[in-house]
Amino acid sequence: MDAITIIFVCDSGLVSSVMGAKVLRNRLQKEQLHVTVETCRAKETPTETRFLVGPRQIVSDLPIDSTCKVFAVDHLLAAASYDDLIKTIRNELMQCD
Amino acid sequence: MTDFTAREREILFYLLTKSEPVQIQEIAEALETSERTIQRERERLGQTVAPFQLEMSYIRGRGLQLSGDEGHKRELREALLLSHRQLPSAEDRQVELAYRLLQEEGMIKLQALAHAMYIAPSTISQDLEQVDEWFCQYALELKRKKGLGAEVIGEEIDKRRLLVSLIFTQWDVLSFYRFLQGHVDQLPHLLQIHQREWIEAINQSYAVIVPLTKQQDISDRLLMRAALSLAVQAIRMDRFPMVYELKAYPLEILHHVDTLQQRLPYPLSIAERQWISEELRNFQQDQLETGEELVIRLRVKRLIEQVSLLYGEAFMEDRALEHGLVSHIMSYTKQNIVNPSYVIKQIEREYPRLFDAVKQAAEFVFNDQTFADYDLAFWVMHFGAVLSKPLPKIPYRVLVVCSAGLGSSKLLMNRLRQEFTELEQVESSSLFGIGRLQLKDYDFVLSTVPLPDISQPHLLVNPLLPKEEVERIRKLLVSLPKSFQAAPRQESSGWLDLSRLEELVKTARQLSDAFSIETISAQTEGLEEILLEISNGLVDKNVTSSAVQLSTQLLRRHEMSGLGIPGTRLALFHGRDDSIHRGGFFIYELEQPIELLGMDQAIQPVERMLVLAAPEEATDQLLQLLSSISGAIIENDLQTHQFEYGDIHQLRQILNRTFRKVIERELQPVEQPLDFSL
Repeated sequence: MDAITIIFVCDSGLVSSVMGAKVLRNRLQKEQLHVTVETCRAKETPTETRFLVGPRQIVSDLPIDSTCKVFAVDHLLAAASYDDLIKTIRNELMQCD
Repeated sequence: MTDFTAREREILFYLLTKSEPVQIQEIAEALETSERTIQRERERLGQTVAPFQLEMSYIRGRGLQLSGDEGHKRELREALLLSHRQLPSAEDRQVELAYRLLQEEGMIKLQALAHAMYIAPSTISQDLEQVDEWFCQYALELKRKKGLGAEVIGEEIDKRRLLVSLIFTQWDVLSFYRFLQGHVDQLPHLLQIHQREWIEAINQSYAVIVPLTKQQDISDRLLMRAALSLAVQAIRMDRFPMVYELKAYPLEILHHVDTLQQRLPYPLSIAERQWISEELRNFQQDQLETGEELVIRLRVKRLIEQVSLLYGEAFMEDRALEHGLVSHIMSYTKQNIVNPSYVIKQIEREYPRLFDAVKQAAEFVFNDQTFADYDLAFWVMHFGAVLSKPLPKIPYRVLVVCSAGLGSSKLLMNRLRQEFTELEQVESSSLFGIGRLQLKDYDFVLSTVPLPDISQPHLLVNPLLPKEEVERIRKLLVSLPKSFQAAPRQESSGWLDLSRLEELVKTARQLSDAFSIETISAQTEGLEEILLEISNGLVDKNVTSSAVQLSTQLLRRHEMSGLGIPGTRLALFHGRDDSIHRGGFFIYELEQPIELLGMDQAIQPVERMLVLAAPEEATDQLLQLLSSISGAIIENDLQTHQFEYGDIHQLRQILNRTFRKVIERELQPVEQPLDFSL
């Protein structure tokens, strides 16, 4: 099974994605979920992305593959914003165990 | 001040450490009581916490939870702490245990002790481990005989010294003086076991000593110690007489002993005179003997506990912190302290919340010793050091052995990964499979089935890994020789891209040099005007060619998603497009707060604006560095606070630190995920 990578996007690639990724990584670590989080600009999203997360205004506009799961976040700095994503990741990991 | 019952305190303290609902059964077990008791308390607790804007919610199937926001939980914690005095801690219990053992002639059954103290025999057994350590420090030994009980073996002089120290851990000078003035209720819980005798002995001893000390300058603490020494003697001399040892004492001391003897209503044997001589000699030398260290160590432990509760972060696992604080306090009386007040001011400014927590905790724990603000600042630094320390990672390799075919290995592996983040390598094998492995490759082995004799440290564990098992494994980890080695520095190998490094360092330098903090004048009213003023300034700095384009971009971003950092006075404005020439980071302090949209979509007052700018086409290095700044802002509460209130010097330091991390990562050849936020 391939390692899971979450791509965190935003407009400039400097602030929202960086800060959001930090909060997300803290949560993943607390929950002992070993996945990688990478940040990038929305327009530079890699094509094989399977898990995408970012501010709502950004991700709702992106042309996304049906194989990619998208998570829109309203409050980047709140840990609770990533509940859905965490749940999905956990399911994903359990399926491969 | 709110009043809580002991039971309420217990339950609330426990629930305050949990963020998820806890089953009633689990709470009952942890607090050594019945489920019915917890159920009974449930409703009353709901009413007790309501005034704190907190809720005691019961979720069917999941359990009890204390819910509400962190600020209110902190208030509850503080209220509990204020009434905490009456709640005996584990240490208090151990002190009482040691006391009872010392006051017992001959053997005493552990059952009897458990009965007298209203605690379970298993608790006594556990407590005895700590008590054993104390005894050891005083050259005493606890002899245990199956069926008969336990007995303290050692010299009477050492027993008395320990006794005095134990009393000191439970009694501060202020309460002692109140007691002497007639407030009998100030007698510590420990001594209420033999209340009448102690009241008489202490009052008498004090009456004997006081006139003699009027001529000299003697500290309150020393006076209290003298009174206790004499009182302990009065209480014990009939049942536990001193044994004389041939020793010489200075004439002055012998003279004092004579004076004392004349004032005492009972005769003193030569051996008993020796007790007084020994104590006097220690006073004179003003030595901080082991007695003091025990007291200090216990108090430091309590300090750490209190700070953890007040600050909301666990400092309890850090041995270095405890050691550092004890050393500092032990050398306290010997130091000639010059008071550099600017250090204190700086610490107070950089770690305000921590400073406050430590100050409160210190006042509570050390209320008889006057400690200077200087000490306080020092202690805060010690605690602060723990917060900024990265978790040391010693890679342990563990082998998990289970019978083939059963699910226990998977369960155990998962539990291990959950509880022990320090385990780098966890491998499993079936029982028959270990023959094929090199056991020396592993630091220790955990198995769910009995193993034949093997060379490596090995534990037979319950695959569910309940609390006690986790503790056993922790103890094992600590005992491994590997734990005492510094984490091995990874061998640096591989090609270092010097041009990348040069670009990185050059860019970091440019960003640092250009960094500034400016004040926006009060006349500028709306956000648009402020942004325009800032953008004009940035044109002057050659960051951008068009002030209008930049300020529009910044404004638009704010409107789209909010740039205020919730819970702070900051907003992080950032722009990236082709009108921007150079990357930069700048801070603007507003004379008047302005209402802006936050990242949580709520309006918040902003008094300081951070501005990050990058060209559309930016080098990797510039992006890395700018991203590291974003990450640094929310790295931790302390650092956020420094961004909020720091001056140019403090911020330069943070920038330097942040950039340094980026550069250090560049120097590491190890493959790492692109983590620009560090």
